[in-house]
Amino acid sequence: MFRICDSRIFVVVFLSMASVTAQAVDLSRDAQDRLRSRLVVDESAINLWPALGESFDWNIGPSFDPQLFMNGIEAVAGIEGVWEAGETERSWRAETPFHTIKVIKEKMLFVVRDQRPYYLDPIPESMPEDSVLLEQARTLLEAIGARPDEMETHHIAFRARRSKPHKNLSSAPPSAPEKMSKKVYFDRSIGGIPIKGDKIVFTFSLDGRFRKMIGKWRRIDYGASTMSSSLSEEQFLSVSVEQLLVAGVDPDDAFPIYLGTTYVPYEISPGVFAVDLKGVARIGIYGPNGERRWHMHYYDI
Amino acid sequence: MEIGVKRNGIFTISFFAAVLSWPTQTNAICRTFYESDGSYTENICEEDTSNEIGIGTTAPGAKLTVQTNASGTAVQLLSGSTGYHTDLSIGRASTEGQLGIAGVGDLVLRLNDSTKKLLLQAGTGTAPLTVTNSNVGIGTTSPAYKLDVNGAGNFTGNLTVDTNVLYVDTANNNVGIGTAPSASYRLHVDGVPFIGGNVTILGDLNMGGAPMVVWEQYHRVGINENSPGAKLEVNGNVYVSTPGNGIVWKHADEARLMVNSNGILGTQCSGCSGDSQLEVALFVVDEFGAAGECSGGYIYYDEDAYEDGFEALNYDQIRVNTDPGVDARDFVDFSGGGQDNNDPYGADFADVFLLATHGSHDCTGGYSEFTMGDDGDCKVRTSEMEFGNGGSNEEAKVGLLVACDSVHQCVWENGGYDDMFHGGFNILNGYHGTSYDNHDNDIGDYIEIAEEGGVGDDWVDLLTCDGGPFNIHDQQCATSMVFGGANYTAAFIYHNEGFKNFYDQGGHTYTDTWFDCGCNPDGGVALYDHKCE
Repeated sequence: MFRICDSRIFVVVFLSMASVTAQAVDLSRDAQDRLRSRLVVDESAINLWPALGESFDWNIGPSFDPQLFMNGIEAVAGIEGVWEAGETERSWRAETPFHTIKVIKEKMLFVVRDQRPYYLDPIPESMPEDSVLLEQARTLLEAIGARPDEMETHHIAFRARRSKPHKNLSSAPPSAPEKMSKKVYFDRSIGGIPIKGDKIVFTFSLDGRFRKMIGKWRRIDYGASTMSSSLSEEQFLSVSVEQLLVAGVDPDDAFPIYLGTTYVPYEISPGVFAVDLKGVARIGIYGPNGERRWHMHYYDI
Repeated sequence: MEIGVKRNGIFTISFFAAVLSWPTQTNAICRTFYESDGSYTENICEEDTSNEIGIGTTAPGAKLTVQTNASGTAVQLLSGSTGYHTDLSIGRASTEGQLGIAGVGDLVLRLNDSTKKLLLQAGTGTAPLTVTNSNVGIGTTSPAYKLDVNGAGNFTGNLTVDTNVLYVDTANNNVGIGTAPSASYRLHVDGVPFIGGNVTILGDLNMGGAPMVVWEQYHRVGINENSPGAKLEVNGNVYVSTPGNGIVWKHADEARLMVNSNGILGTQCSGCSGDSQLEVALFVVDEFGAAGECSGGYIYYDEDAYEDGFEALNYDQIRVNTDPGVDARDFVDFSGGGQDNNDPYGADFADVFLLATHGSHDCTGGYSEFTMGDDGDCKVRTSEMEFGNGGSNEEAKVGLLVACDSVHQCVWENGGYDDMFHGGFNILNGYHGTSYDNHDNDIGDYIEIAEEGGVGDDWVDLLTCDGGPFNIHDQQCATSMVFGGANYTAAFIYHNEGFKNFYDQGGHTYTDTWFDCGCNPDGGVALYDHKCE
């Protein structure tokens, strides 16, 4: 979603960038026009105002509750045995004969693993619908304190492998892809704007049983966050051009630049984060042999 | 009356003109048949003392004796068209065969000479059933055993060999050796087995009464313990009593704590390869185009994020090598003139290496190529690399290539990475096609998450691009390449090897690449469709 707010004051902030080159930065109108010609503006990626309902909860998210998490895992995985839990300064962990849980507290990294070799199980005759897997994934996200309005973006894919013997042993061709598990990716977003770095990846065996969960989902205080921008679309484009020139992006490179917005978290107290709305540019780079590479540049707006 | 005719040496009954007379011979009354031209045809004689009839003989040895010349057929009975009626019937009235025998007694088919063969055959080719030399052959005409079968057999009922030497219970699909199998056991052996080769058990192993239990599913062994809670749980004392032996606690492949044969506790490594340190070498090449460096565009890395990940794991040595201190020789094998075992810069000197730079690939040549920051050594190819190859300070176990085309499907298909893997080096992570250079924090998280497992699987999970504002899930394809001694070993390593939990992969026989179906990056062919079809 994109909104134009012409009545707002346009302020361009020049930030010192650690990666600024030693060369003088050309911020001339001509350089800005040339770089602007590289921009590909996809309005679906640019969102200066999140779509927050009137009932949006601005309060800080709940702190991590180990018991709630274990209950959630038991609900989807049918844990056998008794949890043995322990805690260190860095992490909290729990184990059963089949599962291990580790939560790295400072970063809110979550690791749940089923130790059984589920990936060697034969392919079942029928696989569950994706909706069944999504439901289990949402149950686990709720168990770590995620809000339903943060779970909008997901992606599902088969994880596959191909195999072959070492070339010195056989000239047999590699095998066809063999589906081994199913992955459900949840990217955290709020009001339609993604939150940089926060995502959880769930693994299910092909029979639909929960097997693994890894990723990061931080405790965010939305009330302390900068959730929207004061810029209009035109102002956003102008700020983006200048910020990219300051960062040393070549205005004459032939590769396009895609613009978008995202929330970037930062820690405001131990284990508590706020987010700032930032512009993000997806910049194509040519390597020494003309090969492409993508760089994601984040900047204030 | 026309009764008989000589036709091709066979006596048949038909209607033909003949002259009939009954000559009298000694002890027999014979009737001679003549052709219409008067030529002699055949005698039918009755032996007058035994009342036996002979055809072609004046001395029948049975009630009916038919004897012909040496080359002639004695008797032929034909009834209508062959295939529709029974030609010769003994006690049988149906008409569907050429020889039908039915009766209430035994049927004996016997050859007087045991070396001759009694064959049963339908159609042409090798007779399917042969009886000779007191043996029966099926599919062979020279059976060497009482029952000699050349080909597959199928029993829908039980098979028993000498009571319980071998017992196949087809009702329960079980086999017993030395016993009839219990319904609970697929293989039931009563006796001492000798197995001259490897044994693979894809289930638990229980030594009745639990002196030892092997939980295959959880890779745990219990001694006098039914439910082992760790890789090895011993319920009782453990003795190491053979002179010269000690106990070594290892981390990865390195000794960390040792009790030698004299009972002395120590930390030195004895008799093990490598050192006792956990080391990572980070190579970050990010400034291209400056004097003395390779040309190329702006590129940005934050080596701090990588460093932080390994610091969180308490790695003993974290060596950060940035341009211009990096050059290609740090990745070229020592035996090939390189310095990959060089301390502090060599990639193979460390347990884990990470290279962040530009990359490209050549399918035909079978290599990936990486740009280094030192003028004159600006490129290094995977075909020049060998890791973990056992020389001095060559002990890499995991490689992370944060570069485009670094683990590309077509290079892998052509075996382009195979020669990189030696010793304990078993995982190489990279990208099929274009990669992003701002996954620094993602990689830092990945390193911490994969501390105890998931070096392969977690890489593909976390480094396959997230949605973000551009919804680019299918455009950056993280891939993981694993070597193992067997197909399932490679899968185990991919899921279970951790940055502080290295495994011996049992060789480099099989290799896997792992990826997400449907990923379709810039600079790389799509990895099939979303169903991998």
